[in-house]
Amino acid sequence: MSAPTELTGPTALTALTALLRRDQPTHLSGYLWAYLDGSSKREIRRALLKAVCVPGHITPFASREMPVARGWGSGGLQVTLATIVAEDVLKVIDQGDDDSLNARTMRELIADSTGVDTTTDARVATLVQTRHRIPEDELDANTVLVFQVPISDPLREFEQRPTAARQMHAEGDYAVIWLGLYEDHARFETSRFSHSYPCEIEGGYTISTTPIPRYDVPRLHQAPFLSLFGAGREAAVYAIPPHTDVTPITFTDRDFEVERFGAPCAKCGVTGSYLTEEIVRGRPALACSDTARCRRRQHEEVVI
Amino acid sequence: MSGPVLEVRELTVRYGGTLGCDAVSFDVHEGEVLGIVGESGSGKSTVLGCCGLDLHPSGGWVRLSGMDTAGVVGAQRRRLRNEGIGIVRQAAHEELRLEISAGGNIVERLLATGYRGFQAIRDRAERVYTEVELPAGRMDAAVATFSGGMRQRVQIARALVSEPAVLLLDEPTTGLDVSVQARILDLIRGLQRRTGVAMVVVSHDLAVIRMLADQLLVMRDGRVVESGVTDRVLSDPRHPYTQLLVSSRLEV
Repeated sequence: MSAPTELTGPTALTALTALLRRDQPTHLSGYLWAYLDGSSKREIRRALLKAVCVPGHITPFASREMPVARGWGSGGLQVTLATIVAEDVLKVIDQGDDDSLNARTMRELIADSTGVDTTTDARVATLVQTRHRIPEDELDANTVLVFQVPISDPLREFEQRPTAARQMHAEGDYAVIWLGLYEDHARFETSRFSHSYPCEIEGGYTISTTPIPRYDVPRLHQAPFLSLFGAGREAAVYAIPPHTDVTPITFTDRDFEVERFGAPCAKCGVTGSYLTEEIVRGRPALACSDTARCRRRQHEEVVI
Repeated sequence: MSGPVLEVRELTVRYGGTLGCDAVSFDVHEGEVLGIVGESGSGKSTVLGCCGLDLHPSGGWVRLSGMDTAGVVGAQRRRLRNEGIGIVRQAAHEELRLEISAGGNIVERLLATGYRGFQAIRDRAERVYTEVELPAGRMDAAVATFSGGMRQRVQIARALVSEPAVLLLDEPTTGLDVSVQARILDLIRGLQRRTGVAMVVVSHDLAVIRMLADQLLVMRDGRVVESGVTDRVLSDPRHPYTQLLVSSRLEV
């Protein structure tokens, strides 16, 4: 067994080796370790290996019935449970929030069935299961990000037949995505995508960076960490290995723009972070969506 | 001048046991318009389908600008179709995306062939949009809000934007009222003269054929029964079937 700290090299191959070496115990006090049975985990891991080998390729897998409803993170949960090792430190977020109900219940399920340590601090986490955000702290090669994906295929909006969409992926025929982008620029002079922005992976497949906001997309480009995407309802996984080019689809004479907020966070006062509206001291205000980092900053201010 | 833009030889298509077309041959040179006329089920659209790379021939071959199209498959076939061929169909919704704007429908073929500059494709779309005499200011409106005649104009603009070598027209004005029909035909003829694009027009309407086509094929039961210069065929029909066609035109 090896600790995930060995994930240091730059290539997909090291990510692969690290994935392969993630040995798990089989039982925890009479129950299956990490909830899933061995053959389910093998199936998911095999799909993940293929996904890492072919970055951005939507890889089908036999999605299991999970104790959360499909569309509530069952894909992310399966990826996490199939890859987690006893030494991992786990963080689970939903909309950047560690304390939302969905995040809490899934964290408890994973922690109870494995006994791993949990944290809200992204800097010490080695496995982060996330929905809607990438933690705003600097992440390194020791982190594996697991995304809960609602709709895996960026072509879905334009082509509903899966067979036709697969053919289009195979031929690199992404004209419909460009057409959607043209329509947006012609009508609104900007792109309409608020999240799930389509990105080209290493000059090959185009994926949906789902469901993170545009703000987080540049962080995927040449990221040191491994990103695994799991869609349980759609029974598909895909991956971005470390140090991979992630290029947002955009016209050569139009810039890719991320969300900008005029105001600082109403809670910690930081500028330039991704803000969402919430009630602060009885009033609607914009505050950091990454709650753990926001809370840490508030605490630091008090200390200073 | 080099060889024919479109070369069809011994083209045969079988749908199971049924014969779509049988040993059809013709050439279309740059600047030339070929008409194909015949009753429903005579194989006109089958021939056009092979020229437009929608169908694979069971026998014979189709050459586009000297290139045999039989071995071209997948992404290359799509590219050839987007760059080399323009298609205008009778039913606009088969070729256009109704929920997308006219401009979007026009630029789609450019995007499919790798154009990535927004302003460049927008300018190009605007140019053809004006050329086909569509109303100014409606370019960003969804095609679903357009009338039948306007949709045909959008199709023509979409077909011509990539400056194809061949333009294929499948009953381009069928189902439109006569005044709109006349204006569209006038537009097609004008554009054809100006650009010199090679054209194949399929129609059951002899008036359309007489107005547009230089050469004419008369088809029946999948076979070519008569061919020649349009004026000759229509004014001096030799095959009994052609004679029947010409004589069964309704006079006003």
